[in-house]
Amino acid sequence: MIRAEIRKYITTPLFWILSGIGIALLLIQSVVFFAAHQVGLLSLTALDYLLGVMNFYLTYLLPFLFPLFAAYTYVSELQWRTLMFPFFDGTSRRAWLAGKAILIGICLLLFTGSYLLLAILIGGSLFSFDEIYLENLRLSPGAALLRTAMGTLWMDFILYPFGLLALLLSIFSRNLLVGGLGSGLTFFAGLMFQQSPSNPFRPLFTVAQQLVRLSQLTDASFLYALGQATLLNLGLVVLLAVALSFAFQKVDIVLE
Amino acid sequence: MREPSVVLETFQLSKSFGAVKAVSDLNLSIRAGEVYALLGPNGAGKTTTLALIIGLLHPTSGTVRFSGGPGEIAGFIGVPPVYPHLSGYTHLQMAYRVRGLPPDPRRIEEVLSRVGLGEARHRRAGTYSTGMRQRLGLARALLFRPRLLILDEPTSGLDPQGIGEIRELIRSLGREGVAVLLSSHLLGEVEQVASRVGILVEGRLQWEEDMEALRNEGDLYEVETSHPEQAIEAIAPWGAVVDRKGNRLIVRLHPGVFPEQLNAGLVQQGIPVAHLGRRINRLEAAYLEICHGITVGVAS
Repeated sequence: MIRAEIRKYITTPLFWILSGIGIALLLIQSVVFFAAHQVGLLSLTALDYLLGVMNFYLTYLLPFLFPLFAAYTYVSELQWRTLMFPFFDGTSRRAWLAGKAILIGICLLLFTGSYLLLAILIGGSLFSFDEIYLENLRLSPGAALLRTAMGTLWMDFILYPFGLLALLLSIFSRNLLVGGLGSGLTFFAGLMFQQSPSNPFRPLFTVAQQLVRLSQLTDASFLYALGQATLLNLGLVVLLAVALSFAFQKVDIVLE
Repeated sequence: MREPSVVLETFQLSKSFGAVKAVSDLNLSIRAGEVYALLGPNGAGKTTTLALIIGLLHPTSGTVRFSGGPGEIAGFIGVPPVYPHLSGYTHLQMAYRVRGLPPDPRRIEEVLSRVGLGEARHRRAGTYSTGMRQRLGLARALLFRPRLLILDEPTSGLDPQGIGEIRELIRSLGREGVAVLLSSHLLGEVEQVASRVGILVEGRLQWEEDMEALRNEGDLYEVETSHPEQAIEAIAPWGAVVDRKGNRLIVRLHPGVFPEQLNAGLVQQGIPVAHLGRRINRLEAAYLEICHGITVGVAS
């Protein structure tokens, strides 16, 4: 079933449009960075560039693109009326929804993986891969690439529940923008108030920053924060999965 | 002879949307090999009934019992859905994959040619006409040899040739033992393909009849002549007079006799025929009365 889901959505125009938006902005940023570097406004290594573009993509762009895509995986089935297929194929509502939840997870990895790969290629072509200094931390090119990849994966982990939230909002609203934007804005609210002690998402963002900037990732306080944030996020995933399952089980599916 | 097994039953099935009762205490029973037609005007509750049967909608009360396993119901409701960016052929491949089976190219080709979609199978389904979508919907439905086939207005959007092909296909599926539940608002279609018919109005099953019994009644014709007494005797080789109202005779033709033969026979015997027309049958009469409140007399 997952293969069929991936086959369906990886060939949709929206998947390529959303991927294209990210890549187009990456190219624009690359030109700007390169020009600034050439005229001496900035002195950049490939790793500076990589951290800059990945940070922009993961915190400002993907939180909108990904929930939009997640909402689309539900709303499109309503629009195409193909949501009746699983009922004829003997697929239970729960299994069908689980297929969607896995699909959006895989697509999230594809969105970030392809972006990271392209950013590494462009960064390596335009700038040199020297060691990098982050505050008091000196990272070799290999270590910095590894940290960036880990940070990206962590951001995927943080973003995933917002894909589930987008699905949930779509089930109730039957609307792509309500589902996608509603979830994206919720993430953004969490991001904007990330420094506030009352922000429940704060540990998640703290870990993301520490993953890149902390000198010793085996530090006890970091591991504690990592465990706490992981549990928090997993709790969020479980809560949303239960809410989704319950909502989809109860809802009447009216196809226009 | 053993009676075919019951494939689908509904018991007191009801569905309300707010204050509107879309389906009300519906009891249906469909057997293997039977083509059951739900007939009714738009908004009668036909599509809602089909959606309740496959589980898209939850019933307000009542139950649906299907004797087959998961995936043994096939068909479509409304215009058959398609993924617009995928080809017809890919749709059928994916139907295998969602069941965890490897696609069987021979079977796919077989059903595509059976529904007449061979040529367009590699085109994007978004470019298909409504008729082609109907054919693709049927192909997907037939892929796994279902026990119950649900078809909502199966010939809508088809050209006359396509309508004939699909009707024949439905009849042949019935002969193969597949139970078919179709909804339609076309009397002619129902008369040609159904083995049983139910008329649904405002969510209630108002009338149900075996089509075989209706067909055995034969077609009735009305003959108007100035010589009715002579005509009653002269008609015998072609049919039987079942009713008379003054100069008008209601005639049931013998099987295989065409009305033009009756007309020619009477004229040859010197009996003038002022009018010869088909008299509506009980199904038409019931439909007109139940759905449109028009009462018409039917001789039987």
